[in-house]
Amino acid sequence: MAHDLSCQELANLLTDYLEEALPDDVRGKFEEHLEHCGYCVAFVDQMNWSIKLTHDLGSPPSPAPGHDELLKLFRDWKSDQS
Amino acid sequence: MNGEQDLSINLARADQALIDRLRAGDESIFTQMVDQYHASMVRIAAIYVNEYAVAEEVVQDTWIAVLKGLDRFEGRSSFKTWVFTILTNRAKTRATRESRYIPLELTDEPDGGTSINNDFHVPVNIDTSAYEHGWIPPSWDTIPETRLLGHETRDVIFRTIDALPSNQQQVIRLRDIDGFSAEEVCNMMQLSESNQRVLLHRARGRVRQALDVYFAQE
Repeated sequence: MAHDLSCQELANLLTDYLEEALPDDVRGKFEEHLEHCGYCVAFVDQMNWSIKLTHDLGSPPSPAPGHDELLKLFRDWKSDQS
Repeated sequence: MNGEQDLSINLARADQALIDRLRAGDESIFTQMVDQYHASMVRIAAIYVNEYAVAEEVVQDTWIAVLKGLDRFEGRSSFKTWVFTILTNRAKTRATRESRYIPLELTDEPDGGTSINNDFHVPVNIDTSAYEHGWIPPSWDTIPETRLLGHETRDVIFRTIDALPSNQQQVIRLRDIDGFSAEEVCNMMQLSESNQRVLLHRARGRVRQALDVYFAQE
């Protein structure tokens, strides 16, 4: 049976938890710790926010790629085909 | 039949339709793909080759390889994963040729552990004894949206990701920005599941820490 987790241990296991890669007993200890530790709840909450913000803001509105050059590639490829 | 199978069958059909249209020379489907993937591809290539102009070249070469290799696509992964796998291999080859590519294990931090920082930045106006006695950091739920989703937040995320070791950078971009699954990223980067998680974990830890420091500033 897994021992009780410290706050640092919980932080170290967070990605494994989110990726559903923890063995059942460790997952149980993880959730048990969260039930009574506001510090770790805040930590997990920040991490969830951080993942969401990375997703929402992470792809910059980049200038539209130069279609002309790429279309030329496509047309060249096409004419090689026929 | 379960939902997951339905989904993968639908995905396979959509991929096949896309390939058929490309083969038929449909320019609109090609430009649609370029719009969807090109910018992500340049960012992934840039992790290896460092120079933007070279990354652009690698991506162009990748598009050519994709078109020429359409007949070899066997549908064992999604089409998108196949495209990004070709990209990653080409970027590595190009970087090796220019002696820029440092194999994965050497670019990683020496500690090799999974420890990440779970501290919070304590604003100066908080008495540290309050922190020691169970101070709980304010939730980001209460940050006004203009700040939460603002340009500066975006900059903090970019700068932090850009400063990560290349393999962490690639994993967090592919997983959290481009939306690939863990399995897809493992195949693309030839990583074990546990290594993929370690890299993702460290990268996410850095971004959270940087955002915490930024949001704690008034």
